[in-house]
Amino acid sequence: MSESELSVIKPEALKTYIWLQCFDGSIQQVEEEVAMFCPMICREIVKNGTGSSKNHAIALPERVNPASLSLILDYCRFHQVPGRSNKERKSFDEKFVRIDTEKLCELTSAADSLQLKPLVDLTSRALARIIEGKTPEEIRDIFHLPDDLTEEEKLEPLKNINDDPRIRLLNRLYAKKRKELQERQKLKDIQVQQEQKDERSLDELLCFINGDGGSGGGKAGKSKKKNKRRKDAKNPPKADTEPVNKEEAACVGNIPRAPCQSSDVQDDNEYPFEDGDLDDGLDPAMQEELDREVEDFARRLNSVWPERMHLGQERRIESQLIGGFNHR
Amino acid sequence: MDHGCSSTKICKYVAEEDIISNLPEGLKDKILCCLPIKEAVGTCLLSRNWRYTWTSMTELMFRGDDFGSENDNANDYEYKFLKFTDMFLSLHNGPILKFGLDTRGIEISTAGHIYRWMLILSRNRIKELQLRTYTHESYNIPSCFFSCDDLEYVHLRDCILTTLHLPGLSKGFKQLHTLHLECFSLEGNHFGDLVGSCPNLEKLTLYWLISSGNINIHSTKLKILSVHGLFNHLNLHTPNLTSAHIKRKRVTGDAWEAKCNFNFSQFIASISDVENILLHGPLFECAEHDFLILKLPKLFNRLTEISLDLDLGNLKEANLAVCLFQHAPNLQLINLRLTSKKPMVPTAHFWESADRHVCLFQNLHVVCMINFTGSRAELGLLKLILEEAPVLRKAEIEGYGNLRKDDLKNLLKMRRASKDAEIVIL
Repeated sequence: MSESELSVIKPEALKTYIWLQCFDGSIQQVEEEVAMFCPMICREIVKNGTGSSKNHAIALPERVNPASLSLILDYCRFHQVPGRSNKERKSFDEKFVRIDTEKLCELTSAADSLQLKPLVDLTSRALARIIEGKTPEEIRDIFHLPDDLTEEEKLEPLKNINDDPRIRLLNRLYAKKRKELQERQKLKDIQVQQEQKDERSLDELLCFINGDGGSGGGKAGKSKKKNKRRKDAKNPPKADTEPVNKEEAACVGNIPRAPCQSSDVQDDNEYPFEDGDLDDGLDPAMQEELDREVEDFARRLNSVWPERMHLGQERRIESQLIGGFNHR
Repeated sequence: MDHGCSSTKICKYVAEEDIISNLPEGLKDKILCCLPIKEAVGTCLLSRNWRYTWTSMTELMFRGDDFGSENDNANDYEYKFLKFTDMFLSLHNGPILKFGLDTRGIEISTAGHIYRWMLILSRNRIKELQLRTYTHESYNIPSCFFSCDDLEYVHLRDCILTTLHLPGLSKGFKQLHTLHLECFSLEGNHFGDLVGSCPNLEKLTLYWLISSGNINIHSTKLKILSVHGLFNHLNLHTPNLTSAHIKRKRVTGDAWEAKCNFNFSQFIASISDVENILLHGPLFECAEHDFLILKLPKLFNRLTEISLDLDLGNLKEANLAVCLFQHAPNLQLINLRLTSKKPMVPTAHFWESADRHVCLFQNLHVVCMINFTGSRAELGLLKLILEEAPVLRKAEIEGYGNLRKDDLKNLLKMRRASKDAEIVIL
């Protein structure tokens, strides 16, 4: 502590100390006015009378480890001094959160369990700033998150509201693959009636799942002229009857609108993806990279899907939003 | 920054423990709410744990600016924004405590979206609602708005508040403490009922209001009141105000030329604890001539700032102004926007004979006069202020056109009670 701070606070001899005990058993003493800045500790002192001696130390919650505690006490020690200007406090706060991310998370957790709201706000915002602007891989890296989503889950058209062109392309490829496999199934299946019923329910299911538009972002950048035409009543033809060059369109675009339309919504129509749209606004370098990724993914699909066809019999519909055909 | 990670990159999938996913839900929510909404949704791609964390965010802020890019035309921009917001709300699961919308830059052309979103919010225990919409046509505030019982803070814009069916629909907002309505029109005469059914309302600001009906505001808890716009009938009973801003716009046209029906005198006399007064526009005409002079009992002890539109050539207004100044011993700032409708000048000795209470202008620091024409009345008041204000720091005069040199000279020669007084002529 600096000289000026000491002169503001009572002289050393007269200060009272509070005893705090961490979950791991370590005990430490702190000046009373610093500890009182924490609502939870303050309550303990006032209500339960603990903390006045080493034997009756205040037991801190589990989430407060010694390292976080010392940081928190530094924070309290600075901010409980009344004479500081807002500028000083802000400057302290900015420097305070420049710590290792792991420590920052522990600190946030500890501050939360001690109910020290200003510090919780400060650390949460700092964590948000760390996350902001980074790709999922980078974020996983920083926070050691397991990369445990399956490819399909990552590509669920439903979730593609961020309009990532990469995801858009992969979605389309996925849809295309689905369509191919459907057609193969149809060829194998003898009963035409059952077929049609299944087709319909597949389409309905996809429509229901995709809400009123599946990959919402996917269309926006595409054909601006199409946005102007906002007619609702169109009932496009079904998947298997579409001409070949509109194959991607199939599963997402050409679904009867009736089952999925909500009454109030003034919807924009679903326009099928077209081959020509693949080049919307992506520059050549990125296009190449995406082409490579798409190829790679296609290879993977080709090797994995035939197996899936056999294994997927029992799977429930809910678990495979895209692979709805597996439920047969 | 992250020193720990690099050394353990090799055994990444073995020893590393997730440091963030085990934070309590409330904290994760807080962190997501600090992110721009698109990035918050993007966290669903991180890991299993985070797949649906974004769906329980409690504070949502949709900013139109975040959704467009330079290549988009206006339609695309709007389309993306609306699509995103619709999908987000339909996938969202859990209470929504704060909802904010800022569509500056996009024009949402249908009220249907707002209706739908309001309906979802009314089912989600919304507490704070900010719809900063910039629309072509104003939307009617939907009836589901009135069933959001937990509302505490409301900011609406470009809307129409139809109070015709209010009494039936509205149980009122018991928790509402701030209501801000901007660029809106008020229909019907029941706005007062709405205010009356909000017992905890402390701040009411109506900007750019258009109303031809009665506005009756009766509230004992109201602290900050601002009524700005076009109105004809205003009835205020708000004795505990700390800040009163009434600004009536001048507009030519039959509906608005009519004299305003405003209980001016009664209102002013009742707000004895007010700290800040602003009265702009044709309001003084609503005051009874002698009311203030004869019947003003209390002093405005806490009044520190006052801003008035004054025609000093009008005897009634001049009297009113003097009366107010005399009853405000702690006045620190006076801002006068001068008008001169008729060249009627009060008697030559009007200002000299004005009753100079002991406390007149005792604490005045700054006086500003805008549209100063150098008329005798205006000079008279300025002279009075300069002579009587011992702690005056600055007198700012903004001239209307060119002031005559003689006037300026006289002005600068005036005797000043305060040595530090500075006369600034803009």
